Amino acid sequence: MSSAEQTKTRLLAGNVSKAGVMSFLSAQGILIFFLLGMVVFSFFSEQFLSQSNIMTVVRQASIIGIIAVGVTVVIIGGNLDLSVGSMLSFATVLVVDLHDKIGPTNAILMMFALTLMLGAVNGVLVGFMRLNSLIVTLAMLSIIQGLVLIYSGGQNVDIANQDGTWFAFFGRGYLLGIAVPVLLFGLLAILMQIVMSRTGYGRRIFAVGGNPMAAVYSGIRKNWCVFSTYLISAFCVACAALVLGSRVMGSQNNIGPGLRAAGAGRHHPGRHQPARRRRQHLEDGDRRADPRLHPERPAAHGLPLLHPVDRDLGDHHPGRLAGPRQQAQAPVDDPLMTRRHDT
Amino acid sequence: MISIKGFFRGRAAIQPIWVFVIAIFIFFSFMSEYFLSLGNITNILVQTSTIGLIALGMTYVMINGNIDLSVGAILGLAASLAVGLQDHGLTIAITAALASGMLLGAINGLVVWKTGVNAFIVTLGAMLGIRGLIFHYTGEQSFYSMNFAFSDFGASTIGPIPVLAIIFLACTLVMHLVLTRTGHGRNTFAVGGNPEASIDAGIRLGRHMMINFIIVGFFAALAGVLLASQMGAATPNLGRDYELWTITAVVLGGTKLTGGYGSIVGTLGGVLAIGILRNGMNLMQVPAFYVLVVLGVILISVLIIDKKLNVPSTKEVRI
Repeated sequence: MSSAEQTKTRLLAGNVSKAGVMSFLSAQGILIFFLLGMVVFSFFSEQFLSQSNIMTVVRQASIIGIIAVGVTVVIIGGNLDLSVGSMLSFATVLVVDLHDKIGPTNAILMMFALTLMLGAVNGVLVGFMRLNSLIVTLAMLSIIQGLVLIYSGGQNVDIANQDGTWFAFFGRGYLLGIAVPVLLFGLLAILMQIVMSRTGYGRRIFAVGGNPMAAVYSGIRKNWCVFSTYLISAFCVACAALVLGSRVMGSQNNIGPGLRAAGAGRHHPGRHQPARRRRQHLEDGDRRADPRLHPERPAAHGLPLLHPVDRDLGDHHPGRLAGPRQQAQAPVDDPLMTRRHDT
Repeated sequence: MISIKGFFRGRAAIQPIWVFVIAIFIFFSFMSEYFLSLGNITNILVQTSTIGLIALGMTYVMINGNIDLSVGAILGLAASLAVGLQDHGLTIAITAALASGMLLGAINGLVVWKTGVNAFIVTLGAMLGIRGLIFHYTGEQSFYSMNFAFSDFGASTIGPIPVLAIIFLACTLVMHLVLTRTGHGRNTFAVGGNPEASIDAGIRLGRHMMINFIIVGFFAALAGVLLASQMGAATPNLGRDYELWTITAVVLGGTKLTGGYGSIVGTLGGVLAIGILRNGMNLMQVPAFYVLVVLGVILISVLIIDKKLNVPSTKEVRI
């Protein structure tokens, strides 16, 4: 972020030009929006700035945050992952269902293994077979959603004894006064920031996303790099499922889809690029990430998106995440399920 | 150049997706005795008309090198408006619904044109924002149509063929002709194939981009109105995930995400492929869940086949 820092120092020195302000805005837009949101909401509500509310907000954001950490890596590598939403349903249903059958430890291990396997499928298709990531992950979204419904038979799964299991730790527990989901989110974000900015691996991902051809010519094994980004994404989804499953202790098989957009919306491929490169984008259709993007930028979310379940229930009360669950049903708004009544 | 040549090649030979459509058509005719009847076939056409109409517009946008993820939300808004405004008269309600779709499409196009932000991100934002508008407008309530002329329209037929199917097929024909026979259609290909060359050739990129977004907005709204008339109602969640189905249909039809290549005929094939698969598997009593898996597998297979068939030109470096 050296250019942003330069801009900042220039701003502090009072040497404000229009171009400087614009580039500062474009580089730090989300941060400004975040601060603005904080100020506006704290004027409108007294409770907003209270410690408990802040903790609630951060805890709600942590599930999306954990997924977004993984998706960030995929996007930096020049691809997209739309399948995280249904992968989250998959992993959550799996871990909650297996919890009572084979015990928490085995369930968690199993869930991680299978989710990573789905990530590997994504990775093989995009990395090694070089298919378009948007379509592949779109197809995987559909496949995984189908798998979840087949596995669960369309029914909700629940953990019978919710108070007597240590599995509650991940979603409901506290460590040193901080909620475990928040800790997990912070830990993953910091770890990924270090990996992406300080290690050779991170630099290779940036190189592959920035200019694949140059990356290949400089001896980077592009296929493996892309493959690994999908593994990271799947790993993060599995972590998020751990939190979600343990927080809700039951799972709807359509819990994930709302999160898809939220995860992908964090980072804008081609946002800061000059017009020429943008046109290049149009031309080769490659959605590359800007290397200058920060992997763990805080996001401003006051949006109903945060509560996947609430989307279905139609209200935005945070407590409803653990509230009454709907009876599972085949997707009603399925485009082709609408039948004619006659004939 | 490659895309133009491929375009002609694609028009000359039968498209792969149509081979697939014919194959599954024959397959299901043998597997289920109910499949091959006029009632069922018109049923398929009506069922696919919603996705099909949006897919027509989406084909234009994707040939142009963009994508529109907000179609599902536009459909939902148009459906709610078409039912919710019926107190002011049916004409006003439907006009408002269609106008809202075109307006939102125009806004999408304008933002993509003027800011140069990736269409994926712009329309992703629009998808969330418009869905919010729907919830605000409807107050999270479903609307029921009290006007029977509206709900009867969705079930009406001309001769043996349902009106919805006729509208869909007529729109398909018109859009096919516009794409292949008019300047706008040709320029859409040019812009998607090579934006810089099109600028050099004096084509106004932004204008065509915006027109295409208006087209897809219009068709999404039209699909919304027709879907609402089919059900005689509109729910705020109507149209969720339709963008995924639409993109699936368009990609199955052979349109390239990278732009500059595609056809309405292919899109019709893609839409029918999905419709026939759903219908046929329903008739064979396959649980609905498996259809999702099958569709995903087919989508990936199409990509793989496409990759194997399209040998890269010699200049291109394999990476």
